[in-house]
Amino acid sequence: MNSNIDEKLKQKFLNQAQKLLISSGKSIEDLQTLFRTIQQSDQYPYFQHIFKSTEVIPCDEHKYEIEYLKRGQAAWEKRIVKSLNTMCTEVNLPLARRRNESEMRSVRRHWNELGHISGDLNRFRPVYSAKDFLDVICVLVNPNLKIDEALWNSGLIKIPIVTKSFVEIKAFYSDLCPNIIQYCSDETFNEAKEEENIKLALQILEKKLNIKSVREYARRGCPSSLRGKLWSAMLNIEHCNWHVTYFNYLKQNVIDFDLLVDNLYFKDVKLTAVNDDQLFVFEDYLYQMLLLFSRDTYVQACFTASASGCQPTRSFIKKKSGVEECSVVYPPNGIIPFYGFSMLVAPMCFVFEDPVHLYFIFRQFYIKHFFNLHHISAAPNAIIGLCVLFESLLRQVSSELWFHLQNIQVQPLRIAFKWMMRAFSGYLACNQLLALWDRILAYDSLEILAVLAVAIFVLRKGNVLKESSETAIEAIFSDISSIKVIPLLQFFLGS
Amino acid sequence: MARVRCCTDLDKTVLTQNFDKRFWMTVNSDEDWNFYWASVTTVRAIFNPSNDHPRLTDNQVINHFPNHYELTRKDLMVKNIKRYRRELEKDGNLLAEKDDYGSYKYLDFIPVTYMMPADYNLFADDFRRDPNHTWIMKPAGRAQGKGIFLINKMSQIKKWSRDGKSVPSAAQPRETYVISKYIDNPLLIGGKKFDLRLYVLVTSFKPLKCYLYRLGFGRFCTVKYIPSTNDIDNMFVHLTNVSYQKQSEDYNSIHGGKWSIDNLRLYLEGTRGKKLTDRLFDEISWIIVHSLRAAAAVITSDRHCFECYGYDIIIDDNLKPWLIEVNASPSLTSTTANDRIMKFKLINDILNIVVPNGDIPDIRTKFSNISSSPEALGNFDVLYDEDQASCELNDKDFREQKARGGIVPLISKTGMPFGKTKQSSAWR
Amino acid sequence: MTTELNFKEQAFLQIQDRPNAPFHSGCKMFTWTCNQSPIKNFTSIEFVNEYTAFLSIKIKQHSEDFGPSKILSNHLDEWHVLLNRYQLMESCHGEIGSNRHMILNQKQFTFMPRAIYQIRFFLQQPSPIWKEFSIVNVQIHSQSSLSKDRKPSIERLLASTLINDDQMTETTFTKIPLITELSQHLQAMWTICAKMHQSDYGSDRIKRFDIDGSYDVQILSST
Repeated sequence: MNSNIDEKLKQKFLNQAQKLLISSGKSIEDLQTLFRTIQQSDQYPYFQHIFKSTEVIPCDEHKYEIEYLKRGQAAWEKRIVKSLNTMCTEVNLPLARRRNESEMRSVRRHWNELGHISGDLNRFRPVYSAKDFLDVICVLVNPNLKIDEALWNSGLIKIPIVTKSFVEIKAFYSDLCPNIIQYCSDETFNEAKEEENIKLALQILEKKLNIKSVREYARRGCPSSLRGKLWSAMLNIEHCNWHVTYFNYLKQNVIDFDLLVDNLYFKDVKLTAVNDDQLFVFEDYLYQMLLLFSRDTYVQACFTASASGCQPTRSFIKKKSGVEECSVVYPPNGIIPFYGFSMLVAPMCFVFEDPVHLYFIFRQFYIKHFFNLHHISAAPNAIIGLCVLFESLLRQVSSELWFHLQNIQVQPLRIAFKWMMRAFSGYLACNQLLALWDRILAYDSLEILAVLAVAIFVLRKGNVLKESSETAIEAIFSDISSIKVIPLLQFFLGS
Repeated sequence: MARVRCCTDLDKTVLTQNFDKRFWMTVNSDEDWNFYWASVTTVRAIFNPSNDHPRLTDNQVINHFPNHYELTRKDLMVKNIKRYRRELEKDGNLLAEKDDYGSYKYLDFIPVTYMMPADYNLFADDFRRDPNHTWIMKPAGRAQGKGIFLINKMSQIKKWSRDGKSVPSAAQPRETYVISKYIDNPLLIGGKKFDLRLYVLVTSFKPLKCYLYRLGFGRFCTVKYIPSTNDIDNMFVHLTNVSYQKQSEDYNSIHGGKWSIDNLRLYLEGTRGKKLTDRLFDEISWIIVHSLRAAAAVITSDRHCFECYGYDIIIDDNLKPWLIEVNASPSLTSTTANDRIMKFKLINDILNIVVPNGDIPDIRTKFSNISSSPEALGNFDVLYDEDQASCELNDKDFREQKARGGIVPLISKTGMPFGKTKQSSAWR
Repeated sequence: MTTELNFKEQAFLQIQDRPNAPFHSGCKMFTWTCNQSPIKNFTSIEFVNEYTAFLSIKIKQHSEDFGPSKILSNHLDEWHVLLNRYQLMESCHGEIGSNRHMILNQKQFTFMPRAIYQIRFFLQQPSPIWKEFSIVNVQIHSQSSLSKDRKPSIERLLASTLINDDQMTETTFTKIPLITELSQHLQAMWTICAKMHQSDYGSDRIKRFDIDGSYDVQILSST
């Protein structure tokens, strides 16, 4: 129970001790000398104090740890690993290897057009898609649940998570009600008002008030010229020199090592962003971002933060199989990408031009939010919670629509799932998408994704009620690029 | 109500579908027509005085001005703009103000250009002053990137002129070329070069009335831009023309390398800020107005005519726009699904403006009839309306606006100030 | 000191007048009685929840003045409420908190008993959607008479982390990278560590993913 907390503290302490020893310049022979040195240091009282004051406390961290979901995530991860291994054997390439000199030179030379270093991508295919993941979520069943058909037969998700009711959602997103002027609802915003708003944003940013005040502001959307600054503030990223150092460190890792997952990223960009009429221009940025990302061990933090108790996949470096000290996390960031992963970065290219800045924003956004979109957990912000929220909101808001779809045996979640898993990226016009993502940061929650998905169903309800085949329903929702997100949400939340 | 009799000598579905949508009657060009969407060659023939073509009646409109080439031929456009600048300067117009380096503050919007071979000596002088610069040679009368090449050595231009002389020139006189300073610091997005294609509809040159289409786009090169001289022969790096880029193996047929103006604005606002972005788009509007006013002096503003121009503009990395050329017949061939929709809308909106309400056109009421309600304009915005531009601005206001880096209003020759038109809102 | 509790008595509470009702009351009572000496210097109760929504705890305090034989009959020795309807699940119909590992201590308890003789857990689960509800691995922690501090001490920490000399095995480096390359990496690491420390990032999060410059991975092992 407490090992977790202790571990952190222990690490911190050991690092401190190490520093201390290095700076003391003494060579330490045995434990006693070591201990004396530490005792004499001025940090000793501090650590003594925090060790004593660290309470053996009951912690809330574990409330999202649900046994069968943990097992579900583990089984799912096992499946991905298996399919990655199969691919590995098929293409006859190692998962990771050190590049030789000439390859390193080539990567360095093509750093700004990394597409050039990708090999034959025909042999690669995405490891999993949104559909695969949904299928996995659908079959998760709580063994302790009385499957009362009457209670659980409608809807795809059988996991009893209690989500916000429509009334609670309305209260939570009260700033999105129709009579509050929003950015991005175009017409209502006149130039004078806009200028006033920009001035206000600048004031808030300048005063460096707390995150809360920035969020408060961003609830009504970010002016596109200040979005970068506001996002940085909300994600608590202050651009500094060490970012550059770290960026270059990751870059060096890209130069040094060739990872099989790189090909998955290349393939993904080619399949998605390159064919997107809004995002294709950023192709080369995306390669950089994704390859750096795959080598960033800091990203592993999302596993601890998610509190679902799951850990990233580990493997063993060559010829050291089974030796615990030689186990490594693969890929270094612990994330195996799915089909469409690159769409989670791509829209951010509209906001940040500097690759370093872009990288750290993306990383933080991912760790805080997007990771939850493809991780099995009971947390309300994670994908299962969003699915349950989607189904329950749709039932509450329009039972007519819900039962029509149940009658013709169409599961609306099958349509909405891919939208949510990609946070709508690639489905909406970019200015609309960014306005949506503003709200994710401002409300510090992904729930808006489920709300928007329901709103889209309600918007096209008339068409849906006329149709009775699955393909016809799918056709209605195949193109949602004309949706004006904020006015729609305002309409929906005001209803 | 009589149906409009229309005809076209181009086989473009975006045209015929728009005709069909209006239930217009398609007729042959030798029949009695009301609306003719014709190629430039046909229009030249119709307006040729030696031609026995009957004079156009009051109920006929056609899609080109008789001497549109004053604007759309590269050499003539440059000539007219140079003349326009000189005239403004002679009149002491504020717009012709020059900066400390002797270049125009507001009218320096085309790259330095010379006619070849006529201005050869002027070019040679200029080249010697700055021998490191790259220049671009373009045949004055051709389009779609044909015959274009880059040079950065004097020897190359000498070779070109030698080769030209060796060709027997009796049957075909030497084609005129323009040579322009190559914009070697273009704004790159995602490391790639692009130019803007904007559609401008002119319904009259005297008085000038023009509209700007909102759904313009950026055209991207498929290859990363590298400003090195090694790549001078790889035209995929330099030329953004879709017809040219299509030959590249990296050409994507889903979007065709086209990026909407809205996305460009979103990107620039996000990465460069709103002020600079607004200024850029305002400057673009002014470039168009200036170029049209420059041409207005010499173009026959025939009341039967309207014309839709394709403006090619390059933005450099200081966010300064440069006018590269104006096309008289922008391509109506669709490269992608979105392109098709956009071009269909373009023709649709043009027809709504030049043939209001789908009535038989009558050029005697050409201007009184046009409703200027935003709905009637579709995706067009009025860019400049000489008749209506009568908003009072005294010198003080003018200076204030200028100081704010905002819109600099156009001042007429007579000193009578013209108002600011729908400039900035045109881009929302 | 830790005492594990095994409940002999696990009873559903019946609804008084309907002992044979087709539904259960949603309330259980677990009782545990101290066999030997009572638990003194009690500090906390640890357990893993299994779908219990609310928990109440009552104890019988052992009054030290009484001998064990007298206690059973002594009416003064009443049940005292240690914890009243403590919420374990965020919503009784939802997963959250259902598998939670809990440690309850002084902060949650109404009072800190001197000694425990008998303890009763009242489990409530009003939601009908669950098959079972319970709490498992129940442990009572108390400070042993020596009052040994359970909290980590610097001494113990160091001792447990360092490996004794005789346990160290000789590491043989077969391939040592070029010294320039090595120093390049080291310097990068050094800078980053330093910067990491200055910033808010916990230094525990930054680590190299390779081992001695090697990251040759052939196959993923599913763990």
